[in-house]
Amino acid sequence: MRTCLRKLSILILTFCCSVIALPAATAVEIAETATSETSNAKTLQQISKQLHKTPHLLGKFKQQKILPQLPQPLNSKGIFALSEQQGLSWRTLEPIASHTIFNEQQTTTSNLAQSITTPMLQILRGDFQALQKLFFIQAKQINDGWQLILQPRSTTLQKFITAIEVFGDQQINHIRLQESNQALTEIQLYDLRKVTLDDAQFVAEFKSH
Amino acid sequence: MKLRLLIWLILFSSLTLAAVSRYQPHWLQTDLLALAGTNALPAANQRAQENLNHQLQQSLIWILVAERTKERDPAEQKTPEQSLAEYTQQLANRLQAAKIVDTLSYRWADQQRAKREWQLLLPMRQQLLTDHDKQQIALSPGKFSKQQLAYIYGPQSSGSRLNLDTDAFSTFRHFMLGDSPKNIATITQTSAEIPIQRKDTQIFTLLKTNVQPLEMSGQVSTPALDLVAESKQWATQHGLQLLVAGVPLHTEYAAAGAQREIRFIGGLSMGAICLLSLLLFRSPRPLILSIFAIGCGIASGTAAVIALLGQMHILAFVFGTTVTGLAIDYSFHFICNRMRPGEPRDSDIMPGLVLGLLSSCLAFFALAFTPFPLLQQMGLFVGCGLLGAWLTVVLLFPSLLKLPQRSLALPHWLQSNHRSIYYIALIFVLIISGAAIVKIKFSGDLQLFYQAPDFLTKDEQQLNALLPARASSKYFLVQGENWQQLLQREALLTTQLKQAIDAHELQDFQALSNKFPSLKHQRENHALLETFYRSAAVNNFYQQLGYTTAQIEKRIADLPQPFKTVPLSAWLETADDNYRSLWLGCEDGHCTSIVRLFGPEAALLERQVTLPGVTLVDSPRDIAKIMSQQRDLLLQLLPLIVLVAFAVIALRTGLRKALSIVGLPLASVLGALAAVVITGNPVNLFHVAALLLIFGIGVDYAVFSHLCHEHDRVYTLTAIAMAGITTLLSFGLLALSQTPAIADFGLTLAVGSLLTMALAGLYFLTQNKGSNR
Repeated sequence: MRTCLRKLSILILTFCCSVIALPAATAVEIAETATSETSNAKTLQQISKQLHKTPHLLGKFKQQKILPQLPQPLNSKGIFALSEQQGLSWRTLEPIASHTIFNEQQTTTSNLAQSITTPMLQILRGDFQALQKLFFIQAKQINDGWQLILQPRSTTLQKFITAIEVFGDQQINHIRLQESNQALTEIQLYDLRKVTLDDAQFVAEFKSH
Repeated sequence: MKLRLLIWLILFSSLTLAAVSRYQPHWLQTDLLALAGTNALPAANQRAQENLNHQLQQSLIWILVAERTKERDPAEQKTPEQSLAEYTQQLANRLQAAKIVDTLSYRWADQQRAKREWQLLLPMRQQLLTDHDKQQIALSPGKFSKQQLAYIYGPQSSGSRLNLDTDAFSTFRHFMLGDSPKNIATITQTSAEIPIQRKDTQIFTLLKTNVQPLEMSGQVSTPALDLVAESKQWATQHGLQLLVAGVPLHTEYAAAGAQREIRFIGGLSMGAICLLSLLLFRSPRPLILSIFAIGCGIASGTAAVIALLGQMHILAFVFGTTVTGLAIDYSFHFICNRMRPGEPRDSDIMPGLVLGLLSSCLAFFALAFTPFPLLQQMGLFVGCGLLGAWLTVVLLFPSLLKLPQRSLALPHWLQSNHRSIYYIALIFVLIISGAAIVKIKFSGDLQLFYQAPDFLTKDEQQLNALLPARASSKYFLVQGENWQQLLQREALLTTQLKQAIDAHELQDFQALSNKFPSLKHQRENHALLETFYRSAAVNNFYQQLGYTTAQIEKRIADLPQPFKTVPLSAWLETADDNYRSLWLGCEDGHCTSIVRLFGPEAALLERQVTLPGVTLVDSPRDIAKIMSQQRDLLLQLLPLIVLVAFAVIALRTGLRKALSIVGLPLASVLGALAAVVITGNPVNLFHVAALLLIFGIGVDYAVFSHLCHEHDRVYTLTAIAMAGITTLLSFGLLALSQTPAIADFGLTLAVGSLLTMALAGLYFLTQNKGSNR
């Protein structure tokens, strides 16, 4: 009987402590979240300043796709061009030559493919404001560089994308796309250079399709 | 007295009973398309037209538009698309709460339905190919497999749920998504499952509603137009633009207009009659009896239409208000006859009344035999209305009419004219008319029925500019003995339609066989993929993806699928509503479907598609054709009616007088027709219908003017003047109608009845001596 009473008093005490402690803990959590949101926004602002944005860009890429149904990763490389007006030119040179131009005006019935290409365009343009409307962004400073983790806000997008990680310094260097079907795409961007609108190669990228 | 009352009661009770037995709640129609009449079309076309009419009658398209470039608060956590999706949801809630809205759709295709369709067709994946894939595989299998490899390697395949086990070459996914349909605008993204479309700087969402059919009541009500106005106000408050289009808006607008016109025209006509009657007869009794006769006329007309046709269009009712102007003729002639001093001599007026009724009814009932619902209803309504009014006058007036007698006389100067003046006038009218009629032009335009107001057409124009293409009123009707034959015939047609698209003669089309090919095509696709799977291109494809030889062999062995036959009915159960509505079902060993057309397809009509079981249905063109045929038929009928009337009158009066009597309405008819030609208007069915009625009225006046006693002519002239003025008022007022058809009808009748009255008056004034009897 005494043992039972002791157990009961411990239980009551624990409950009381919890009741008192819970709001305090919640308050601490809210304060921490608010602080972290503020610091996250600040970090994002710093990254935005650090990133050299340019309306016209040419560069090379190396891409590795790991698809769960395939026995080995798919490696490809090529050239990309980014234009404020014309969108993104993606020219794969190896192993299969192909060329696609993506832009917001593109007609497509596959809104899923569009939901990948739109964030891609916004990432390469460094348009974090637009990205924030589609994703929760977690920003981190790493040594001289930075890392962004993008998680979809909408449930529709969550069905296809788990997260997008972006790494960079003054330029975007690396994008990692994790799909909900276990597919993983890693894109390395290198030899990036600002170009003028009349750059011959740049013009050619958007002309030859 | 008792016998006459008994006959009247028996006749009217029988008519009432017949009407009650056929009565249905929606006897007064407001459906604009029903007016056009489908009776003259083949049965399958009629069903297709009714099906489409039904779809059109209740469907409203709402487009909520936002400017994408609009300056927005940077702190705003939503994209313009997300905001628009939220407002679309709010608009949808508002519409759903509205009583008149039956169904509403605005979200991305029903996912459960799409999933069922996917599951049903997946086992048939080897039988289903888009035209593009089919062509690529047949012509260049290597290029096709390379394109698929490029797609897998490229960034665009990310997030596309690429399935290398069941759909390695994405042929099934391509088929389900379709060959980039041109009738869908650029869908930029979906937000909260709501598709957001884009055109230039504007983004918009599309909502489709089905509204309840318009209920006609005594009150002028416009629930759909009111809902549109409220919703537009709401959209403006939120900085958005709302565009709405659909037949229900036009139906409501036309119905409300017709109701107002009935009140205005009917009211004014009745007011004028009351005033004239009181002024002339100086007693309320003739007025009360005249109103009673008109009431009996309208009731008989309505009852006859309900009993014989079941339904009546509100526009036919508007036309029918003229029965008041004609029905009063009989009352006025009877009453004026009673005004003569001395004992009542009702028998004096009977020959004129009988001849007048016979000739008028002949003209009106002729309209009832046309295949046009509007003319049928109008002819029956006015013909039976006149008969009812006539019977009331003849059976009840003799005992009920008590009137102070008045002695009337024509001023002396009016009596001194010579008869030749009348004949000169008659010949003058005939010659002038004859000369003018040479320049006659014809028209059979459907727009005569209704002209849309600016505020509705403006929305439709903006809406058409946003949506790349809307379904045309023209469509193909395909028939087959069974669904397999039907799909095969559709396939032959769609091959030609695809050529028309390539030749820019057509923007797009929608056919069942787009989504469910014929068995022949399914077999062709199956065989084509079977060959493709065994090709080196496929082997190479798997090698590029890194599979080992053993894995490749296993993959290739797993690719072929057995041929699976799924009946069309099974697919229709899972199909999208747009496709389901194309199927009209099977009846009497014939299955029927519609192939919908999009875009400027006028050139296609020249193409003359001549395929077995395929008919191009162009309802406006067909209806215009029928209207023209009816116009020509009525024009041909007119001389026959003149001849019959001449024969009937000649039997009673002799040839010479009959010629003189018939000459009067003939001159009026030709004069009215000449007036239409001189004013530069092409002659349409409604002008011709008016000419028939002018003839009826003219015969009335001519008969009474020629058959009256010399000493009674002032009374007959008074009756004709009274009848003429009231008729002129009611017909003249029809010319004010917003509906071109009614306005044409009214104006022609106004000119014709004015001419009739003038010629009849001239005849009296030149009657120099002796009785004409």
